[in-house]
Amino acid sequence: MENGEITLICSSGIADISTTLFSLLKSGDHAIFSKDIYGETIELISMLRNFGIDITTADFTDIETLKTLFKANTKLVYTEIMANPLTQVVDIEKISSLAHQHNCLTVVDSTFTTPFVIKPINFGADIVIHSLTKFFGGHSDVTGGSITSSKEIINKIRHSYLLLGAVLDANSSWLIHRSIKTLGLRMKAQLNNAYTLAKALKNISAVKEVYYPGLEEHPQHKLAEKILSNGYGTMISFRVEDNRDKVDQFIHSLKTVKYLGTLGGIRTTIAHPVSAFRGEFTNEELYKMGLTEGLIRISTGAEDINDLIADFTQALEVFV
Amino acid sequence: MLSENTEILYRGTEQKPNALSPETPPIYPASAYIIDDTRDYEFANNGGKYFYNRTANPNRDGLG
Ligand SMILES: Cc1ncc(COP(=O)(O)O)c(C=O)c1O
Repeated sequence: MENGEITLICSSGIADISTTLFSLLKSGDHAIFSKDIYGETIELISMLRNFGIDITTADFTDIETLKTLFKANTKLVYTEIMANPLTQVVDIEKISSLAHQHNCLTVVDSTFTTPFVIKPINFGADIVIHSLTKFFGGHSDVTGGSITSSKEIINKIRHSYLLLGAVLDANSSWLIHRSIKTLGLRMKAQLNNAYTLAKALKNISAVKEVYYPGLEEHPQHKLAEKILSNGYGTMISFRVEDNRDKVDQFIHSLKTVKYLGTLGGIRTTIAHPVSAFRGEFTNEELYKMGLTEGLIRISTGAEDINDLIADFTQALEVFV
Repeated sequence: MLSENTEILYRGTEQKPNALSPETPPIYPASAYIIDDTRDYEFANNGGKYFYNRTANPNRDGLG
């Protein structure tokens, strides 16, 4: 699906990330990571630093600055296509080409996008990883991960994969294999719903801002149009009043949609990003990152779109 | 009323209150657990309850 040559199946998304990084980087190497990546990948960066790996983090939407960060010992560039939770989109073609000019590998965590929205290898990426726990599993009942690349690169990763024991058990492999058969159908429904829901949220007076690459006012809308297929992802974030009590009331008022610490399932779920990041950053840092009490992230499912819009509309009345 | 398409996604997902004492433990495959609100998230995140399968799972804890 990702147009690679071989895929290794791992015990979780974070297992595929750690396996990839620990097999390709060694003490004395330098790597450049997007700053807008999954929270536990950021925690993994600290572990890599403990092993003597030099890491720079940067805003990957700023290609000019990125150009200045390469060093003689830079070996790898790491990014996601669409950032969590503010949905910034990066120009993976430019990033991969820059990495190749410096003889570096580009690793993409494409969990949020899936191959139905983008196949990063077609844009020059070398390695694509997924948390299969999300869209591939699709029913919030299995944990897994994958690493896809060329034979040559996978041969460099395979030994560590086996030694780190990051393999997926048979039952989970079977479940994900079954789920993949409906990935296209689910994605089509979820992508369509996300587009309609994002537009509907914009028309609700309690909603101050909607972050979704399919909206024309999104800062990377043109880029998203160019590189994404079949839709703009299923993740939407929106901002309401920064009032935690009202946010809790809103969550209680939702009738079908649930608050869950995961995403990509067939049922729509929400998350409260600032709660997820509170332990790791100061309030000031969170504010600077745009993570305030009123920011809510939606992972759009495959419900009837009218039911979804109705549920959000009635629950958002707590802010009126 | 929910449409049939939405109903199918939710029907049967709720806990059965009269089936809480099976003699052998149920298998918990869920990748995540429902969180009531932001305070409940804090409680869960501090180890108060299960919320993400990779972080903690009742079957693993039973075994461990
Ligand atoms: C973008 C991204 N990458 C990786 C992971 C880690 O996946 P897993 O929980 O399967 O280890 C997540 C989990 O939320 C994620 O959102």
